[in-house]
Parts: sequence; structure tokens; C-alpha cells
Amino acid sequence: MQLIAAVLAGLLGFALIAATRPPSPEVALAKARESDLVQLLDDLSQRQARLEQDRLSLQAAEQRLTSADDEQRLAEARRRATSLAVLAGTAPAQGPGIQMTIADPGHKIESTVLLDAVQELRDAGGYAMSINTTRVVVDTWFADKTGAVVISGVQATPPYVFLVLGDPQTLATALQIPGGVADTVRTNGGRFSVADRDVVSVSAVVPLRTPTFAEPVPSPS
Amino acid sequence: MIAAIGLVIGIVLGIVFQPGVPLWLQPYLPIAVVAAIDAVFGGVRALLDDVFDDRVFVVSFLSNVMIAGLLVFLGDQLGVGGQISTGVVVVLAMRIFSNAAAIRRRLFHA
Repeated sequence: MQLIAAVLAGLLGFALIAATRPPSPEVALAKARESDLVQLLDDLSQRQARLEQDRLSLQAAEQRLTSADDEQRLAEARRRATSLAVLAGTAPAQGPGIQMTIADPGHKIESTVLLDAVQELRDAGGYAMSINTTRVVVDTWFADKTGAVVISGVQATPPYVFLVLGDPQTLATALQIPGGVADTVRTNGGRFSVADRDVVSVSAVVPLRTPTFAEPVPSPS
Repeated sequence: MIAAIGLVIGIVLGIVFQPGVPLWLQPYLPIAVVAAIDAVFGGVRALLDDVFDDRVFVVSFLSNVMIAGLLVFLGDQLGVGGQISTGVVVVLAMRIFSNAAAIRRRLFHA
């Protein structure tokens, strides 16, 4: 009996060492339960489907660009350049949008209110906007001065006139939600008005700046 | 005492031979090892209480391992493999802890 106990203990020691060795990837899969394996298979299939879609769309794009002739490619590139310029604020833009006016008789509207308004308009799909004579772009900043707000270094005095390009319905509704820009302006003692326009012309631009350190990626030649 | 020597010899052999576990045994080995450890702790506690019996130890060892393996197999067949193995491990760990506590009290009177 004692011997058998010893043999069993020996087996235990042996199995302990065998079971605690770090498993190689194939062994790890062999140890997994069926439900885990099914989930793994599911994930892999989904990933494969997504990558397949990506591959197809990239192939189509390559097809389009290589089979088009030079003029079409140039036109495509120009289209991209125009839309990027509008988004970057270096080109004027026209289109449906809204004109929003914030009057501030008590001089109580601060930069935060204007910044909030810009964020809300962006969230509602405004893609080009200007306040008074300053184009609002990615790095526009707002600061307070007595009696006025400084927008990217340019002093803006009330009433603040926003010209925003985008879907007029969505923009106007977004401004009027409870707790939105309209409410904030009125709470701060200002007067808020918004009007849909079929054509809004944003003519303010920002100058194109050359970067000090960044360089464009060299084209493969 | 001979059993302790046997355990050490088994560990040494395991380190020396670096065994690979056969595929069909893979899911059951960890649970079987935990069940065997529980039996060993029970044996040590019995030893310290002077009620150690070889036959009881051997039977409890084998039955623990068999029952643990059977439960895991049954769980896999029923589709609740993960839950059953968790339950088995929890119960075995509880028993290991209570045996270890008794051993500790006996050894260190604390």
C-alpha cells in the first residue's frame, strides 16, 4: 500500500510538471473548449469578411485611377484640392446654410459661448463657417477682452454674425435644442436669431501657411 | 514518508524528461492535478492527526481524480464545460485551503 501511495504521488509530481509547461500555440488550441473555439472561428471569419471588403474597394479605386486618362485624373485631383481648401479655410465657399446673429447689448457674452456655438455647429454638420470677418478653421482660438472677444488674434465686437455652410434644417434645429446655444445666449443676456439661407457666401479666408518643420511626403518616382 | 519521496522522484523525472501531454488528455490534466493535490493535502492532514491510512489515501486519490475527470467530461458533453470546471476547481480549492489551515494549526499551533 505504501508503495502504491508513493507511485501515485510520483505520478502527481510528474503530471504537475507536465501540466505547468507553457503551452505552444497548437497545444493552446487543443486545450480550448468547443465554445471558445467557435468564438475564435467567428472572430476570424468576421475579420476576413472585413478585409475582403477593404481589398475589393481598394482594387476598384486602383482600377479607376489607372484606367482613367490624364485629364480625368487631373480633374479628380482638382476636386479633392478644392474640397480640402474649403475645409482648411483657404478658399471661399458658397452653398446652403444659415446666418446666425448673437447680439450682446450687455457685453456679457464670453469666448466660451462662442466656442460652444462653433462646436455645436460643427457637430451638426457645418463644414465652413466665419464669425464677423474671421474664417473659423481647425486652429481658431477664442479669448476674452474687456467688451469684446478675440478670435485668432482678430478682435470681434458684438453683434457676432455667424455664416455657416451646411444643411440649414439640421443646423437650425441643433442650435435650438433645450440647453443648446440659443438657451445659453439668452441666459447670458444676449439676443439670438437664426435664419435659413439658400445661398450663404463665406468669403473670409485664412492665408495658406508654409509649415516650419513638416514636409510633404516625397512622391515615389 | 515513502509517498513524499515518491512525489519528489516524480517531480525530478518530470523535469528531466519534459513530457508532452497527449492530446486527448489535455482538457482533463489540470483538473486532475488539482484534485490529486487536494487528496495529498488531505493525506498530510491525516498524517499529522495520526489517522493516516495508506488504503484511504490511495482510494481517495484515485476517486478524486476519476470524479473530477468524469465531471469535466460530462460538462463538455452537456455544453456547460466551462462552468462545471470552474465549479470543480472552486470546490477543490476550498478543500485545499481548509486542509492547509488544519495542517498549519497542527504544525505551528497558530
